[in-house]
Amino acid sequence: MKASARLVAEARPDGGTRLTALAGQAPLLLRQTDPAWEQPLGPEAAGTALVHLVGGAAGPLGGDELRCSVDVGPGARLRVCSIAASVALPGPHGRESSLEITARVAAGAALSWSPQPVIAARDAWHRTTARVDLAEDARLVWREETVLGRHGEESGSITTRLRVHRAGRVLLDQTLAVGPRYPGSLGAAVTGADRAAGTLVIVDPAWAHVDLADRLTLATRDDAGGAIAVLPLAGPAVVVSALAADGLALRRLLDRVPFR
Amino acid sequence: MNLTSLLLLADSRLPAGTHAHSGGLEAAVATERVTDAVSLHAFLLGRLTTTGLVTAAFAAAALNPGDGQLAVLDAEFEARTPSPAQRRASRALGRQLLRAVRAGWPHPILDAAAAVHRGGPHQPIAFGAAGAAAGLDPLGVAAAAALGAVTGPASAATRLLGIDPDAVTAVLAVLEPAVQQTAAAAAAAARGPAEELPSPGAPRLDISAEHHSTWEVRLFAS
Repeated sequence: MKASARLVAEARPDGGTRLTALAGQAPLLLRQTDPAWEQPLGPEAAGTALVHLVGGAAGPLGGDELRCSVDVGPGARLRVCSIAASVALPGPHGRESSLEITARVAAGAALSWSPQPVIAARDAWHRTTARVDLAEDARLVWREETVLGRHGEESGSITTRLRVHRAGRVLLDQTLAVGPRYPGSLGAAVTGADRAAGTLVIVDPAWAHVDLADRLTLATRDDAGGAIAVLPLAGPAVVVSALAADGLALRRLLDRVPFR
Repeated sequence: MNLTSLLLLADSRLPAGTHAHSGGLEAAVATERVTDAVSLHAFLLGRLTTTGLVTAAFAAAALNPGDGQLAVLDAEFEARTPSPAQRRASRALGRQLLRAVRAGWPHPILDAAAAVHRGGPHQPIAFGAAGAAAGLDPLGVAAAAALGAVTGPASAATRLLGIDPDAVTAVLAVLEPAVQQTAAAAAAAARGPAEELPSPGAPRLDISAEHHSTWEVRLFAS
């Protein structure tokens, strides 16, 4: 299956955000939703347009080629969530499925990309590639959660690459490749015994002159509830990286981060 | 290619500071994630196929840089190293390597590598420049860098785990085909644009590097 989705957000004169394009095909159906849905509403929510990916078909299935493009215009604020986790499944011809996301966030704009986890079912083979271009004063919250196999199941193979540019220069390029096709990934250097891996990337231009250690403080931990660390980048951004025994424990760890 | 130069650059006795680093193994042993030869093999294979591949690809790409390309490669490697503890370790190792290599193979590319960042170049950038100064080819540099990604932690393993050094050698021998594959993939990637160089990360190494850097007592710097 080939499918694409396109989302364009623009600032309204009254400070709100309107969607001038909202088009998708199953399994990338998009719906605008009421921000009051999400509790609690922070001050950030004012003026933010909320869109949910509603799925609309199983998958991605092996062989699927999916594309999603997101444009957040100057001063606009957009948050993208999803209704449910997506389960990457093997297809009939043993091919890789792919999801390619491109996002552009213009001057003074903000994007929060916070979908539910991707679950790599047994024998799945999936690749997500995301490229985000930020204006120098744009803000970003980008959340990725990967769960290795459904309950009690072996993991499929999944690759997730996120590349973020800010003001035309590379800020972050990170790939997570796990599963049986990547034999080193199940050892203690990559995911080890943990079945869920997540990252939260936060770019805030206000951090340009803030010491690395003062940007985001979070008690580091590494125990039965999972492991988490804040990794401040050289640019005004941090990566929060977490590993946990399952998707629920991972969610609990990442939900402690006060950015969404 | 000069085989003796390659052997010298790949030699752990080169005073480039690598003996002070365990490549994340000290933290993995302390949390009992690596306890024996079997778990050491899995750890080293993971390190090889993530940070080892990235290091080897950047070292090979730094061998024949175009104008201004070393600074581009340094910035691309920085973007692939989210852990501040690992960025510090990488630049410290890059500085030490340049110092050691300058004594043997003075070459303008070493000065160009030193100039990419005030903290010194990232280790693979310095390693590629060293390879250029010593007249190596991309596959040779990539193989030495990929091998270094596992031999450093492997030699730390004999101290940290107290296991038989012969058992560690056996683990390295089993990894040898994977080191060759990684080097070949790295050398191939180095022919493409810097932006497309591989970026596989190792979340457990990233997380434990930050935790390890706060320990008051540790045997290794990273």
